[in-house]
Amino acid sequence: MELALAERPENNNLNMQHGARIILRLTYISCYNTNNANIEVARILEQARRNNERNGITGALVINDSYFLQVIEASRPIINALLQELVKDKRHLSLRIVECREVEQRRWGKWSMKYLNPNDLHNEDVLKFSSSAEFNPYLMSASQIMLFIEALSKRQKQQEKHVSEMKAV
Amino acid sequence: MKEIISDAHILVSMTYVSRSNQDLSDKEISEILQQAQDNNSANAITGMLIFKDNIFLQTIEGSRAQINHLLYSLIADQRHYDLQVLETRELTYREWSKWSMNYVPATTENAAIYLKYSTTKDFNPYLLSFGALQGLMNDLSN
Repeated sequence: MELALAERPENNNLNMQHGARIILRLTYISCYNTNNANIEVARILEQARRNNERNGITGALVINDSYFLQVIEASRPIINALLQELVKDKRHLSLRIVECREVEQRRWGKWSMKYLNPNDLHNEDVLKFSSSAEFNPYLMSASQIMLFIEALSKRQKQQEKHVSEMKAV
Repeated sequence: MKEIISDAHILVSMTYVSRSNQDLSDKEISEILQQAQDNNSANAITGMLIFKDNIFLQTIEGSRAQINHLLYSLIADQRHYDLQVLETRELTYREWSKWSMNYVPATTENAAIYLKYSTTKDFNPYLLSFGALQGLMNDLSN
């Protein structure tokens, strides 16, 4: 017997969910209103572990005392739900969506939220993509921000490798 | 905060789709359009708007700060719902620089263009990827 139209999942009225097949990558920056970046990082990562895996969200996070930089990958409706929360979040000052685009594959698929510690940065990493020696994502283009995150990720990998080699010795 | 928020040089475009809370008459549409055009002219924002079957499909272009401010207003705007940002990217140059808001009304002549990019006969940008919507908007404006 044929299902009534309303019972067919593809005919439900949740048109908003239609973009759920699309992976969006959202990159944003803000001046983050916090007294203690370390506590904030721990809180965000804990929250990410709880929520992100369940919702198919992956990403990377960079925080220092001045700036907040995050990449989030998820389905289009989920990214938009996060975006609605984000603009209401008073801790984010001067929030800027740097980029939001459809991607074929995730870059941070292995992590619910990969924390990239800016303390692992070398001056040359900042200088490479900036007009000054000080890290200021507001002055950087979207592609410079992407390259910067890649450089930071690479630096962190080297660091981890170094630490595990030291342990092995 | 001592940091310099200086991204006034960065040009971005944002494309979104949303649903009108009520059926809009031609008069109401032209009022909304007029308001958008006035605000946009004042803020060096350009763009493109399609309204059909109570769905808004819009691209806005301007400085990153301006576009982000506009996003806040869009999210707060009670006249529409189901707002979905489809894409935001940096531009080397504007695609809609000639218009404070280029409006393409829905006409039956355009049906072939909707079909070109759709699996359905209806105009449903929620189903489409950004690439298809970009093609659709370009075709409609020509």
